[in-house]
Amino acid sequence: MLKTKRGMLLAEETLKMVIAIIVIVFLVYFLVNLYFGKLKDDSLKKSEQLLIKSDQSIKNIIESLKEGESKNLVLQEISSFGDNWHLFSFTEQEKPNSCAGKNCLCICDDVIGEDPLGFVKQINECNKNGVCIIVSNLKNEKVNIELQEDFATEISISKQNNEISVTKK
Amino acid sequence: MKNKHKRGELSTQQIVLMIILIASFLVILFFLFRLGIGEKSEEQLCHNSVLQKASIFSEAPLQCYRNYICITKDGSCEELIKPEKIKVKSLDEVYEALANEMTDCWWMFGEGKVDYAGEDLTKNNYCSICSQIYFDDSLENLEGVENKKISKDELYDYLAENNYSKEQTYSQYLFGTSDISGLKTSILEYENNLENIGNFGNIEIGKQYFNVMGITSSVGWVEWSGVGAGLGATIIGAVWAISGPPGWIAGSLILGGGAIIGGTAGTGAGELIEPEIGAIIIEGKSGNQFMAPTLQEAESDKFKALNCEEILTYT
Repeated sequence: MLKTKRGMLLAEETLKMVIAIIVIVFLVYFLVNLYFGKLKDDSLKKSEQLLIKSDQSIKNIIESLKEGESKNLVLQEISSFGDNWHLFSFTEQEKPNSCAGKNCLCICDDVIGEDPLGFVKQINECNKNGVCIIVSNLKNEKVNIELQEDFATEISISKQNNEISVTKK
Repeated sequence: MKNKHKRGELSTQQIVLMIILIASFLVILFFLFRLGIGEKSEEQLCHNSVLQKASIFSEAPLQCYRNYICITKDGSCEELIKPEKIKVKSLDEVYEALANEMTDCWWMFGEGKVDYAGEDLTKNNYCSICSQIYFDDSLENLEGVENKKISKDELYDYLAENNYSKEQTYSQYLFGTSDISGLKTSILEYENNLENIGNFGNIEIGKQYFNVMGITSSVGWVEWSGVGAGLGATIIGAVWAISGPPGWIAGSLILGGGAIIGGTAGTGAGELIEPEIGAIIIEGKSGNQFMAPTLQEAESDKFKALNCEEILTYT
């Protein structure tokens, strides 16, 4: 009888412990998500400023460019927690949804690194967690510019033969 | 037997009960996700943020997100990443899907009864892209589709002939009337419509379209036309035969009108826009004028001619 009671107690304590661990895991998961969600939100807001909303945004510069003209722009860092945000161009067939099938520039976290096969993964990342602007006449060339953490990145935007080109200075 | 248990000690029966409860909860969660309740909550969240903005003029942005939709016959959708797929077998089903998208958009943004633009804003047109719709290539095999085009006139006829609810048709809900042919005649006969534009144009299969609606801040469509004209839009006021009460049509936007538009940023050289009735303007009960939901090709010159100052929906 005593043995059974001890066994029952053990089962009860184990169950309590399992429930406690599950609750703690959920709580940690929730807090981590909340924290990184906030970081990502800030990064997206900064990207939006750089691409669209500020007076010296990439969109405004492209709109103001005349044929044969070139302008330089200094891009500030986007994220500061290990993330590696880049400026990408998408001119091939597959593009993030917000590009609506047109050529576009996006700022998002670099998830492929040097892996050329990770291109689809990169499109998905920019689609889910990125900001894009449509530039229909963007030159069909690869843009992948790292927005470095410790110092500003300077880029050059030019218009030649009605095509927009973006390069790192 | 009960006496033998310590206080607070869990019996096997209780443990089994708890496991059954957790399992049932998981099953219910699974079905909730399968039913797509999340999408409905997003629409509700957007609707609530619109109402909140209007009631207390809060500075908080609207919580409205663009929906990515693919209308397809064979289930393939190459152009969009993980869109909401709507499988159709006939043109009527395409029209039904579009009608539902347009009415959802109109509902989310307050049915013309809510001023979410505010007074402090200057002469601006605030647009909301409720959904981005890709018309998959497979639709060209549908009966009634010719030259890879779907007629928007037939879509508006569908809106006039089919019921949104027991009491009203889709077009009554959206425009306050079911007399689409009367509206087209009225627009056609309007004295400023020099090029006799009286149709809504076509949707091209294989392209992406925005389901977009708008609100003017403190200005009406006359001022709106002044802004739009600069971009090549000819906007006329096709006043309804009898000036109706709020909730009725106030005019229409004719986009194109044969104007050659200059190259704007991000576009190529100027090109000819085939003219069409781009959108219907509603005299809202809030006192604002609203551009009723309309379908325009994504980032096209016709869309740009709507001259949206700001897009209120997130991508």
